[in-house]
Amino acid sequence: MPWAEVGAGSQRNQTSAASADSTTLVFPANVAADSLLVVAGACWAVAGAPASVAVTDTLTTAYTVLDVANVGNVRYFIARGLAPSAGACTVTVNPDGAASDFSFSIDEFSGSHATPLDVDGGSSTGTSTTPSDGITTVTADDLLIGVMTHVAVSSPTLTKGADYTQIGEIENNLTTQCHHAEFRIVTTAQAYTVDWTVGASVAWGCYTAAFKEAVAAAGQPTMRRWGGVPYQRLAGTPGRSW
Amino acid sequence: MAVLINHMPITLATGSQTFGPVLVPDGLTSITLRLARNTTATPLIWPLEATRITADMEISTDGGITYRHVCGVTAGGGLVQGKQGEATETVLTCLPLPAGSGRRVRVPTTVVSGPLVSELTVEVT
Repeated sequence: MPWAEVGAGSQRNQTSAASADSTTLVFPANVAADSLLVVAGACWAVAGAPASVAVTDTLTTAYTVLDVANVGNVRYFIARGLAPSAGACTVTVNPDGAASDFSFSIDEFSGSHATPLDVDGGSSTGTSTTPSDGITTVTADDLLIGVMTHVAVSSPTLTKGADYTQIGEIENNLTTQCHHAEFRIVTTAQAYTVDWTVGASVAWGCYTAAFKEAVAAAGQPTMRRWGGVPYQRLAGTPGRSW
Repeated sequence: MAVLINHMPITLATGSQTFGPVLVPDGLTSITLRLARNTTATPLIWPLEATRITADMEISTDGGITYRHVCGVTAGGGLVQGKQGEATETVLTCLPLPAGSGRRVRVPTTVVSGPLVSELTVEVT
């Protein structure tokens, strides 16, 4: 089953908070069981980057958080979990500490492998207008997720990379912590660059991860033609060797 | 931008209270809730960290018959340093707002260890 962004983007949502303990954010429509729920963002605190970021939701999805704190007082993260059931879903993000500035985006993807992580791409930092992080996928047909943030006391524009689709962004970096999250569905296991463009040179950090798509069910092998569009044998067709 | 509730003084006892509903102008796509915070210049506003509030934003697209949660925030009081010095507000912004005509927004709140003295602002852009 190939990756697909559920609702062609209608499940995207984003929020920001300042001087807050935690925030909640709702998926615009019910999520489906076994969907990959993605939460990506960044948080800041005056005393130093929050020690951790807890992500939970009302479906009791078990989230795994990939995160790092290596630029300013900011921790940025990509969290993902497989929805255990279908239904309305409210996500809570709670950085460690009582009062943080933070923002994040959420999205839903269908077609996830039961153990989704293919590659933890880790992070990159720099000072420029072109944040990027390289990631080399191991498995074909991955979903690439990237999130970036910066520590300038300004709010320049944040623009997705040319090959990517924006999940969400908060550009305000004066009264909250900015982020930009994006994704791409790829077909070939190889090296990729996840990139953005910032409207001014800033000290930035970005994190990437790649996730595997579902394995075809027994008797339902998936073939692919050029372009990566899947063909599947119709159920009940006479047995053939693939 | 439209300011739906503008620096309304509030004193919230421990417990729950709902503000609104207020009409959201058509075509606007994001909503921001602001709660004035304790600063050295405003020592009577929300001085205790133990005084905590959960404020949600709920929207109706059917004329106020039903409401659905959009986003929410939980925060405690006391002096907090922000990126530009003392934080003057706890702020929550979420987008995009569900589309529709004649939308209404309300803000249910729950306060622990009140009373909570602050000012509430809700604006949409």
